[in-house]
Amino acid sequence: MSTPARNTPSSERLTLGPLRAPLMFGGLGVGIVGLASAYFLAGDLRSFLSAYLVAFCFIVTISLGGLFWVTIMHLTRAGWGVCVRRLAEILAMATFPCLILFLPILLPVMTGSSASIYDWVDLKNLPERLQGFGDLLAHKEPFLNGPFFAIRALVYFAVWGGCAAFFLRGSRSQDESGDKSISLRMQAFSAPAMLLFAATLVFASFDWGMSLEPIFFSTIYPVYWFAGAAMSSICTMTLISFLLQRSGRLTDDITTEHYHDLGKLMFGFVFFWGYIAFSQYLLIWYANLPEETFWFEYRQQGGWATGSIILIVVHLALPFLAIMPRTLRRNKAYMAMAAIFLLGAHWYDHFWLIMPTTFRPTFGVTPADILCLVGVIGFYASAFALIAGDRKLIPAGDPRLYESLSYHNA
Amino acid sequence: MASTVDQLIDNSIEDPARRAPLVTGGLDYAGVTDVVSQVAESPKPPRIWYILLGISLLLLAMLGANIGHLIFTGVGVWGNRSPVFWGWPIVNFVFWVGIGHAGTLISAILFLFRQNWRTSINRAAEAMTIFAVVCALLFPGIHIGRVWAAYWLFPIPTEHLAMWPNFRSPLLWDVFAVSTYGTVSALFWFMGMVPDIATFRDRAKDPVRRFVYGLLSLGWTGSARAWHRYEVAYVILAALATPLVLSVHTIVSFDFAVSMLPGWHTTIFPPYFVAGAIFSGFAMVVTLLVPARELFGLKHLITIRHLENMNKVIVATGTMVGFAYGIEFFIAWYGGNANEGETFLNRAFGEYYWAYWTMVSCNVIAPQFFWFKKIRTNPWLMVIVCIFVNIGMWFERFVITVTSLARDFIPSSWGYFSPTPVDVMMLIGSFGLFFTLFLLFCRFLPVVAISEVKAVMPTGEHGEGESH
Repeated sequence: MSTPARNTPSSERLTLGPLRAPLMFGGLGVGIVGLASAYFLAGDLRSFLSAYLVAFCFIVTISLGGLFWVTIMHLTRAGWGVCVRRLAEILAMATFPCLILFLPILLPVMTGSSASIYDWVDLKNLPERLQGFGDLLAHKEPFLNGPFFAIRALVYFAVWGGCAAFFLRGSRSQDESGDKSISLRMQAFSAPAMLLFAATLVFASFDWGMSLEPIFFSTIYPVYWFAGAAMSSICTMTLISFLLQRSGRLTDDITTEHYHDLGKLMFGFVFFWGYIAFSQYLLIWYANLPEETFWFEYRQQGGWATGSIILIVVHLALPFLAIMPRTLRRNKAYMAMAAIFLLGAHWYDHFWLIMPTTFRPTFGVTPADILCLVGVIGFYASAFALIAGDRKLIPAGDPRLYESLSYHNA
Repeated sequence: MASTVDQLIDNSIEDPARRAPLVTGGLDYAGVTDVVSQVAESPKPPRIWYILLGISLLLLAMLGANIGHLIFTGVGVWGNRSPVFWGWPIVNFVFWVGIGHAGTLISAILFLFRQNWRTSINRAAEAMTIFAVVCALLFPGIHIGRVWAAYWLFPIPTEHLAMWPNFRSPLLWDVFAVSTYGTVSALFWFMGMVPDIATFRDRAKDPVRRFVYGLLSLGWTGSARAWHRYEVAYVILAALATPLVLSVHTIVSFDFAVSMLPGWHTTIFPPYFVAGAIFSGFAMVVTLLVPARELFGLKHLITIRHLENMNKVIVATGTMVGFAYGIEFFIAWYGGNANEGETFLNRAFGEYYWAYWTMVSCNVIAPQFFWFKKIRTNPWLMVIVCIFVNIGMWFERFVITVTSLARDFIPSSWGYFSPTPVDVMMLIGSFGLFFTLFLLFCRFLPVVAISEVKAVMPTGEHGEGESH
């Protein structure tokens, strides 16, 4: 560990301490400046919102992944990950601020504004590519309409926020009391929580991602979203652990073994994403039905063929090889770099999902895309600091903490 | 020194502060060896074993007679008729391949996830995998009509053979996927068994037994070097077997999903088939192990906690399968494709409604009983639920295969599939094959991985050591 680590007073080692204020206000500042400059650079509201949606999906899937890991750790009575579970709990809790970040996407849908990025909002003014599909879209109207879209979104956020709050509050009260019955309660709730999580993630992915191309449908789409969510949240937990340790936090609590375990899961979900993406592509390519293939066709023209190959390389081929060796997975700095790289790949994955059809017929990344991402990350960091508060960053009262601390990968 | 655990302990009680013991009944290391070895060493197995073996052999003979009948007469003895050319044989094939998945999941994925409870059940589950693959391979093997040319399934270069399998067909990928799966599973199973077979060899009093087990134990010495290599090989095989858990049923799902037939072509099929396979596989493991632990006195090794954990996996995967049914239905409506929508309505309310609702009741509703601890910790109740699950998973494959084919794109060719007595006898007979192999395995090979169980037993002086 670097020198500042040794200088951190032991009382501050388990909390954000003085890091909190700069993170909260700095993040807020970056958020405002980033999004404002992205808006001006984008030119019009619709192209800003498309870039914004990419950044939003990037962030919200990280939070959802956090919720998934918290829930599955309780569901499986996991011991290994107790030391990093609080980070996942905070990420999950950040679905609350994600609701605020969602408003710029929701409001144009609610008002039926022409700036809305969802073409199904106004069936009378369909863009050229959807001309002739009016009947099909009218068939979907009972599902794809502004009010129901908003109601569903509120239900998703209520479920995510509710579950996240339950786990974070339970875990924090255990910090003080060490009461193991709290673990039992959280374990009991984790099973229904997983059901709720799965149901909401499925429809959130249909609503926010798949319905951008309202005539496209793919039953594996939610699993694709989930694969990215699980991977990106593991990367975020790795990265946050590394950054916290570099600034002298949790130095004795998160060990190489945890990085190794997180690395294994990272590797597993890189592979799982590849499996799901390949399954979707192969089945659509093979059956060759125009009602499905057009979706991939948009991703193979106007330079997007290169864009698609880049996705395979950065999201699968390169990381698959790069984090396979065991020795590298036990190297904290290396894993932090891998996490940054994969988070970039995760952002690019959503960019590839969202942009090609209407927003960016010609492949290319603009400064507005990047500024949107930076801005949203700024807000997210600020939310992280706000939620973390001056409370402990590990579940200090968890009865399985010792098991997590003492495990060694043989 | 090995420690003992209180005989009265109920290890299904959850205590977050300490890991529940996985071996009960006061067994120490030597006790574990004795309990497992006595299954094979007792001069006579329980009478019920003979009865079960007798029934299984009868069913196996029935299978053999039907296969003979099929070979001499032709595949017309099955109910496969236009438009349903894929009838029960493929349903049985997919059913049996699916059953096998639990074994690989337990032995490979749960190993990588450090799930210690797998050690008591992995051996029997792996054996079940291999026997299920044997049953599965039977059906496509005899479906080709001219069974003497079955090797044409493989792309064997020969100047006499002017035919080459179509590499673009998922049926050929199946040949590769299932044979790879069978090979790796058999290797993994056998390699894992070597130290335990050596234990059998060392304990054998009869020279014939000593010779046979000696041959099978490949000269195992139990030296530190041998153990080291064994453990390295185990991790490598586990890592290799892990993608196979996904790949095999994924490719089986491709058999259907690459087509453009409504009800078959949907992108969720790969993960949904894998979840269904694990679901049915675990149900079969529970169905086999509950009687086996009673019969062979393995209750302290295969405890209620092991069974309960498996039941939790069953309710989880069963719910995933239920979710997939729901998503398929939703997208059939949302996609707006008239054929797709009609196919799904026809499944639920058409002439095969009985099969569809049997499937939903057994696969989605039955496992929900496992939300209740009383049911998931009661051995005989769980067996009933698991048998329903297996019935449901067979019906799932029936519903998928038959309903889509029976109503293809041209209404004039629509038909209704009816199985023949040969179809029925072959399905029942395949269970005879499966149970014969499993009963023989129980009698002659180590049913529980002795060395692996010992590795997860507490080692402290007072039985308070860490259990991972």
